Amino acid sequence: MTEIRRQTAAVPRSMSSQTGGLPLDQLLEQVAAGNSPAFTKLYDQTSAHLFGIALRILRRRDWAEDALQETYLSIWRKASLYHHDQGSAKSWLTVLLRNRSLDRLRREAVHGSKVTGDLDDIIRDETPSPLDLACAGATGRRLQECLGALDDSPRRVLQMAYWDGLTHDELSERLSIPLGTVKSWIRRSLGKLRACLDL
Amino acid sequence: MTTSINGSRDDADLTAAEFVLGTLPDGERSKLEAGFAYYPNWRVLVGRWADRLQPLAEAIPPVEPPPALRARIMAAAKVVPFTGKLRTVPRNIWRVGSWASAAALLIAAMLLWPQASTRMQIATIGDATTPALVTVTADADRTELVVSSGLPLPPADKDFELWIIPSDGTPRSLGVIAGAVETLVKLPEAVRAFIAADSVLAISVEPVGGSTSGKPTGPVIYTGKIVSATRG
Repeated sequence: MTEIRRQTAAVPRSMSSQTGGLPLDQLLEQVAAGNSPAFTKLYDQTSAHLFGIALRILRRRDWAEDALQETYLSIWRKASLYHHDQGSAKSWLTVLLRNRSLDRLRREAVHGSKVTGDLDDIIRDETPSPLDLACAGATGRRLQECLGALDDSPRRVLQMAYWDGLTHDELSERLSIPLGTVKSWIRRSLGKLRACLDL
Repeated sequence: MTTSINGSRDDADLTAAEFVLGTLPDGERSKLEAGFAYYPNWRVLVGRWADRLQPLAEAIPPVEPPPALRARIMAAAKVVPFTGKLRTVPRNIWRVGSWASAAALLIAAMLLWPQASTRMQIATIGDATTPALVTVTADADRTELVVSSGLPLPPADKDFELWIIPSDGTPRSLGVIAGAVETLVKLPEAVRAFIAADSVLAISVEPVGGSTSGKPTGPVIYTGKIVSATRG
């Protein structure tokens, strides 16, 4: 597992795949033109990464599978909307996947479904470590340094929001911190992160 | 759109950050996601934050999804009535002033369609009040259509979808079109034969990304009959 993790984590921002295939942005362009083999390649290069994120947020295999399916179908239909000016292709895919996962998480929460799922035991102990961040290349190390410059609690709030897909309310409840504090910590920490990363 | 896109730049940027982080209220998040298609500047802010926070995603261990899911997705992708790509022309129109946009549009048109002289108008599309709201031109081989500017923008959480309805009466999707700007629609092989005299072009209002059922699901707001699609 660690080896796979490092390999994936080491994908540089240039979006190249380590399998020697086409860079993701070029694959996306071909997908936009309706090229199904390119779509299959894109799936094979990115699905394990995206499935990991969906599982982490949704904690249920069936929900994560649905989120992955919705994500790839929307990539198939909307790949033409991607443009370099909106970040790397991989970041774009991550945003799509996280949004589909959050849609599902919120929908289930509204219906009172049990949000803690069958994978809790596996996932709970797998909070990504600083080491994993450091493995995500130079940009990862930089983000880690900047996160490290934040106070512990606001940093924890940011990471929980990203990794677990928690809302302001949920963060406030789980960490026993007033809602207003959670909101202002997030906003302020993001501003600090930006200042630090853009140095 | 919400004020968060049009508010102060810093405000918009932090909203983009929270959009990527996932902490915006859901209604706002979906609305802003729909805004991707229409506010390229918003897209750029989100893209920058997506890159900034991407290492957090890379830190999550990958997990191979089950092979059955791959099969299911590939099967579904073929059924989805995806019909060729569409490209808004030009991509950067939003960043420059309107005069510059007009120039950019012209240049983009020249770059994209060097064979412009072989294009011919095949239809006008509109409603009862304005039957010729936009014109549709095609190249000689019917590999692509150009829908002129003139459509309004679709509602914030909707897309316009272009359909061709040949004599058999069954609508075939030609893809989602942006509205407001001139749009190039690539025609897949399978629908080219339908671009013929007496077929009807129609524009319906659909959920973002287009109808997933293969048929128009929202109201058809504009139509136009193809008058001539013969070579020449």
